[in-house]
Amino acid sequence: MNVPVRIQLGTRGPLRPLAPIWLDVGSVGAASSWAGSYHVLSMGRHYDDYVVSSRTIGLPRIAGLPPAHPYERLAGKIRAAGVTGNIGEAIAAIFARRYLGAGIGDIAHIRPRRPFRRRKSPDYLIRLGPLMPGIFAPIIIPGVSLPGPDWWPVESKARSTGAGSEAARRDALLQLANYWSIMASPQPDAVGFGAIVAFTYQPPREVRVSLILPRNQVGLTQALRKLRDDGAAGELRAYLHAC
Amino acid sequence: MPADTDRFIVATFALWAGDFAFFEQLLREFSSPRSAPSLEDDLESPEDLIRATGALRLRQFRQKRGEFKRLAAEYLGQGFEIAERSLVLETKHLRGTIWRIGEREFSLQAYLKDLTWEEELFALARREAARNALPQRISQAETESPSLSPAEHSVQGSGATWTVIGNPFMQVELTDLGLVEVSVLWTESRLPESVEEIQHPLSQLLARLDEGTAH
Repeated sequence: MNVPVRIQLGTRGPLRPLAPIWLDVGSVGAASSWAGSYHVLSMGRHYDDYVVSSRTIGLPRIAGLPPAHPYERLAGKIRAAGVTGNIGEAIAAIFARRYLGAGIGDIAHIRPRRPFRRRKSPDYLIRLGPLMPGIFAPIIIPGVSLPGPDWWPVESKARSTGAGSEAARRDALLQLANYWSIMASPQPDAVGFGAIVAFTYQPPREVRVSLILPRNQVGLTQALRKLRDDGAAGELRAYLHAC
Repeated sequence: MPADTDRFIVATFALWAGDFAFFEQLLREFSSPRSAPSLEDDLESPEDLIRATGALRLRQFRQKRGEFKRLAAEYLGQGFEIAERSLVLETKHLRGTIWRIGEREFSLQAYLKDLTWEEELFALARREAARNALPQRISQAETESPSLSPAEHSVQGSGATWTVIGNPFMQVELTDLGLVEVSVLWTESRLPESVEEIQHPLSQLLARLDEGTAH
C-alpha cells in the first residue's frame, strides 16, 4: 500500500510531504523479521492482516472465490504488541534505504533483545552524516551545523493512531536522549542529532520522520546530566530545534 | 572502524537466517572485554556501542544455545537426532540456510556476507525476476485503485520477487536490506530422498545471485 510520508524539523516543525512510500508485505515482512525484537514466524502475513495491506486485495481474481481478507478474524483478538513492535522497528531501515540512499552497511540495528538495565538504546545507529542534508534540505534552518556526526541514533515506531504516534515520538525523544547521554562526554559534537520515524498504520496513515537537531549543545549536555541524575526530561526540548 | 560495524551488521543478518556458526565467528572477537566494552561501561563512540551490542547478542546467543541443548537432550536420550545447526549454502558474497518447515515445505534464508556486493545483488535479482517472469493477470482493483499498487511517484524498494516453476517450486523475494527469502515446495508425489534434491536448485539460485551464473 502507498503511505503518505511527511518530514518535519523536530517534533513540532511544519510538515513537508514527500512522495508516498510503498509498504508491501515482502519489504515490511523481511525487514521486521530481521529488526524486530520478537520472534514471529510470518511477519509479512501478520502485517497484511493487521493493516489490510493490498497483498490479498490486489491479487488476480479467481471467478467464484470471494476476495476475502482475514482482518475480521481479529474480532475477539487484540493485535499482538510484539508484532506491531516488530513492524515499528522495521520502518526506519526501509525509509533510510529508500529516501536517504543509505547502504546496507550504513544501517546497524542495535536495539538489544532485552532492555538495558540502566539505559535504553535507540533502535538503530544509521550512518546519516555523509547523506545529510539530502531530502531534509528544505526543512533545515539557517545556523544548523550539518552534516553532524557520522552515526545518528534513529528510533522507529508504529502506532495505530496519530495520537499514539505523537506519544511515541515523545518516548522516542527520551531514547535518543539516553544515547546522547552516553556520547556527551566522549563525543559532545554528536549530542542532539537524531531522527524519529513513526508509522501510523490505521487511516489516515502516515510515515512521519522527525529530524532532531540541537539548538544549544552546551545547554542540552547540562540537561542530559540532570536527566541522568534525577530523571527530569522536561528541559531537553528547549535545547532542540522545534521540539 | 568500518570493518567492525560491517561485521556486526552481517552478524545480525546471520542470526536472522539462523546461520549460527557464522554469527558466532563474526562476533567472537567482540566477546573479549578488551575488544568490546559492555553496555554498562562508559562507551567512547558509536562504534563502541555497536561492539557492545554485538557482545551482548553473542552472550544471549550462547545462553539460548545452552537452553536448546537442555531441551534437545530429552529427544537425544530417546534416540532421535536433532541438530543445532541448519544446512548452510555459501557463495563468494552470499550465505544462506536451508530449513525444513514441513514434509514438503522448505525455506532458504540468505543474506549478503560481503556488503560491497549490494548493488550487484539487486541487479542480478532483477535479472532473475525478468528471466522467470510469468504471465499474470492484473486484477481490476489493482488497476483502478492507486492505493493497491505502487503509485507512479511512490518510493519502492529495489528488491524483486519471482517464482520458479518446477520441482521444487520456489517463490523468491529479495527485499530492501538484501535479505533473500525463498519458500520451497516439493511437488512430486515421492518425497526427497537426498539433500542434493533440495540443495542443488537452491545453490544454483544463490549462484545466479552472486556471480550471475549457476555453477
